[in-house]
Amino acid sequence: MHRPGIQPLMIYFVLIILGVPWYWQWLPSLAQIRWLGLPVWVITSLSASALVSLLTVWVLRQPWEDEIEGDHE
Amino acid sequence: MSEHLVPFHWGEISVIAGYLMFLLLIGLIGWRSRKANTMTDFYLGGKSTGVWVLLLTLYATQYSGNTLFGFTGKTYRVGFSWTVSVQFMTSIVVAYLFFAPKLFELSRKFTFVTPADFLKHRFNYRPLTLAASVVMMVAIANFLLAQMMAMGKAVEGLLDIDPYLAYGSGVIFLAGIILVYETLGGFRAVAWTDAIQGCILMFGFAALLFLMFRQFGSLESATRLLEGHSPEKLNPPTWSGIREWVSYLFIVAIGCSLYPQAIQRIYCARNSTTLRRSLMVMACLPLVTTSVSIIAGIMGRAYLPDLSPEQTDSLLTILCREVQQETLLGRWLVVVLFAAILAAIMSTADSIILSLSSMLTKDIYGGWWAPSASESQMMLVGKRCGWFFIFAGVSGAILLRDTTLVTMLDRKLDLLAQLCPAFMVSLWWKKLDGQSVFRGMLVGIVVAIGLAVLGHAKPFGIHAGLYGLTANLMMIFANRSRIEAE
Repeated sequence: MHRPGIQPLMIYFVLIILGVPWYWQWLPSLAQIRWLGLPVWVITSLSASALVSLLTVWVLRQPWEDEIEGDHE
Repeated sequence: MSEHLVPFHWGEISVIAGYLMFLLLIGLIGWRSRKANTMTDFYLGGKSTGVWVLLLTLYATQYSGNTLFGFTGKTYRVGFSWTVSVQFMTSIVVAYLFFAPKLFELSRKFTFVTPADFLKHRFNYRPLTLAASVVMMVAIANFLLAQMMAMGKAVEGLLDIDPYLAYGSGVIFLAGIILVYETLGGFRAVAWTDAIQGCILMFGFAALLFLMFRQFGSLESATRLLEGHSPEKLNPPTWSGIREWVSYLFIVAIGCSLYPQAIQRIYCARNSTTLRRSLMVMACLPLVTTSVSIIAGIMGRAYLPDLSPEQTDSLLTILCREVQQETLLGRWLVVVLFAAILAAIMSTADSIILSLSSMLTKDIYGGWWAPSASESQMMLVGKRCGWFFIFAGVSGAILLRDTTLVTMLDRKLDLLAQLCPAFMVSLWWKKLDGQSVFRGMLVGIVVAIGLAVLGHAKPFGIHAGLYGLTANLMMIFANRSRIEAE
């Protein structure tokens, strides 16, 4: 891998859309629901961030091009 | 309300002193472990850094004193909207995906030492190489000054003596320790001390979380209190806040991934697998570290709602003082947290000094002033440059004790973002030429700094650096179109 493929990029895009709390302005009462003291919009943003971390780990699991070339030598 | 800790007793000071002496010992071990008197060995540890040391040095370098003090204070001021900090710290690792694999491969093939070595190889256009080095040096030199001042402030709040004397002695003493271990062991000493400091920093975040819950109770009760006196801190951001949120994601991802000391950490990995594995762990750290600063900020807002804006950046110290006065365990956990704060500040400062001295030596002295200088001459100049930066940092920190550097620090990311086409875009746009990148960079800097100087640091909630980057890219496209038409 030298850069992420199109699929991970699309998932990153979706996670950014979900993680940025722009849509909660239309859901004010829902946004104030709390779980363990955290408003639900904060939990959504943190969850999106956690998914970005997991996706990044998954992308980084693929060997880079020089590792593949090294294996072939 | 006092912004200082309860002064440490001799037992507590001895623990901190022991930790600092340990850093010197690591410098000595780094000196004994050197393999050759070369730039690659001194500045990149012979490019043989393993997974854990690389991870911890990346971590300790990216997370400065600002993560503990600045993020806690910012959460106090804006509330849960500062959750963006968890996202933007994660976005730095995502940004690496776009250029680290290729850059690492090239750095191996062509033995790069400084970030500008890549530009020399890619464009062979001297004005660009020089300008990019100067931009990086200016951006991080101010950051170094901020770390030096933070060292003084940390010690000032700790000793029961004249504040000016405590501040000055703190800056000189801690900078002296960095000078010794960095001169002795170069990158090896810096990376190994960063590894120790990274561990202490992680432990410090855990201690902070424990202290908060023990002192104030659950997050649930804190948000219930917050709902009573500052309900707006629980709300999602407004539209202008959303624009600022998105702006932060991009400016931090681009700017922080292009810190010269971070680029040099890409170069220093033993191999691709090492770098890949370190980044895998780095991707998960913001969730468990940055979010602790947010919790501390929220707890502070809930239980100490009447702090003045100036006091908010000292919130962490104020919270620690509360904890210190309660129990013996609290007192000792604050010692751990204080060591973590010192670790965060010193590990950022030492990496900046090493990076600055390598760029001044290799890019400016070796690249322009004395191109025929031998490796040993460059090494000597490099060490002297390191001393010069430490001396300049100490003098600046003492002279500017009462100055706030926040505005200048904000410009750091605006400046570094203008390097995005040179380092990121150029890896994938084969026809991109040095002249276009140089012109784009100049236009970007003028726009970004111009906006900030005119008092528009974030027009419509978007960082000036992103306006600069847009102008930068437009200039590049215009110049490329002209060249291709000719």
